[in-house]
Amino acid sequence: MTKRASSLWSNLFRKRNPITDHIIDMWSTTPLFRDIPKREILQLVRDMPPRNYAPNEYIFHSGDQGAGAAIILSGKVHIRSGEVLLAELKEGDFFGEIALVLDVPRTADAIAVEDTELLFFLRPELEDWLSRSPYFAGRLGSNLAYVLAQRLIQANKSLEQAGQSSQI
Amino acid sequence: MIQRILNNPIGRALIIYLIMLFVLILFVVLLQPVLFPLVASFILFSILDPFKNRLLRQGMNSTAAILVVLLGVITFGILCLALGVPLMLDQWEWLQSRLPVIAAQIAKLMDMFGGSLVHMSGMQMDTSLGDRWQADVKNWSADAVVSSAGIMMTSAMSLVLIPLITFFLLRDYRKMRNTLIDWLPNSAYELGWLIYFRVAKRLQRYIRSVALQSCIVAVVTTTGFYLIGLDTSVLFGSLAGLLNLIPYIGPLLSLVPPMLATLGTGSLDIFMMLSILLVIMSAQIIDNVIVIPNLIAHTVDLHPMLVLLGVVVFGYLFGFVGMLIAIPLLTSSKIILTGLINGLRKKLTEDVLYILPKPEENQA
Repeated sequence: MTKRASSLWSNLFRKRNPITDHIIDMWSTTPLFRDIPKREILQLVRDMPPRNYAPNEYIFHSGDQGAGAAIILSGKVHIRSGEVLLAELKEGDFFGEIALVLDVPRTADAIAVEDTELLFFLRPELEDWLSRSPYFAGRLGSNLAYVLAQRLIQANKSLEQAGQSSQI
Repeated sequence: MIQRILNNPIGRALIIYLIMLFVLILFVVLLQPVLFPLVASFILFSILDPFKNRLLRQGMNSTAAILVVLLGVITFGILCLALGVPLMLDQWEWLQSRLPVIAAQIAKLMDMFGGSLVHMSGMQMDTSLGDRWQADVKNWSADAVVSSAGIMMTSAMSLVLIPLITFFLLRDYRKMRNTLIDWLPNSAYELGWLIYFRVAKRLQRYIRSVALQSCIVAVVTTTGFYLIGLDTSVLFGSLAGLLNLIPYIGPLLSLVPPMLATLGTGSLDIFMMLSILLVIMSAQIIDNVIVIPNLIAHTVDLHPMLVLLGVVVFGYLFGFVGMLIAIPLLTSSKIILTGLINGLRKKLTEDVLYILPKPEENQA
């Protein structure tokens, strides 16, 4: 009897899964979720299971239809355009955010370099969130615009540098 | 041969689609005893989810929002049952009491027209058809009384199950959906999500629009029937709303019961028949000019010919339910097949490309 009562008690006041807390902390430190309360992030990540990728497994190919962004919970990911390594991403980094805005094909390949665990944040989830909580989803939209603008500035700089070096 | 089909994106998409269809049919067969409450709950969930989201936006807690929405629907349902059902049952009883007169009138008309046809064309015709039809109607009304006990049992079970299933769908649908999609392999994960999302979005919008369209047509037709003095206005108005769910054929079908009911008076009331035609036509004009362009036009992206053929074929195969599910099934199939073909076309091209050494292998 005592055992039953205590299990009911622990069930009512059970603590959140520490893994979920870890995921929320990770997302909240990214520029995408800046100024968005953790309880809102919890609503998004609570029901989304992480995905595991083996070393050298393609997460997506350039030209694939993208459904959303992914954050690296553990492991390492290479972003490649053909033979060129564009970026090496590690735990806490995110990628594929263009697919959160546009229904366009992926612009590069993403490959797991080692055993990698990812958590996706998908466009359908974003659209659902927009109908449930437009204020915070709108804030994410503005953060997303900031991230994409930063990437554009970076790309322009790289092009500029490439142009200068070719002139020399 | 099999390898050839698997290497072709259309062939592979068709195989995946057929497997999905097989799983769906398996579920339908296995869940047959609870299929009606399950489908009704999904329809309710599609309609109620936006209301729940609206309450969540106001800052209400999720469970409270679900309970408020469900209580609202249950109250509305009880009101409809309390006000509408006794009225419809009265009208149904009146109609049943007039069935022999209606059958006799039809038999008389058939004999009359049959005799004229024989006279005009010189062809032999079975003029006893009317009498046999009259006997069939009597048997049918006796069967209806027997089967109504079964219907009452199913209805009672559904009344308990539908609110329960809808509650759990409103609360846990996202979790269930994510768990199901998580079974997909990594290579198909994002494609699976995209296809699911397109199908779900289109279906949910279709269900909401069609439910609203059906209500509008039912209200317009009931009002029209009431104004022209038809005794069974609520019964046939509601039936017209329900039949309007069947594209093209539904409005024609909704014309038949009130026309037949006019024969229950014992005479051929041409003025009443024309008035019924006018009411149905007015409802269709409102539906086609106002409701469809604003509500339905963007939810179904199918050629009218395909819609018509689909409704006829599904109606022939599965009866009334077949006519109802024809459009959502065809729309979903189109999205799934095009999504699979486009996604697989890309994937297969890559598979062929990576028969050549992959970039990593090159570097090694």
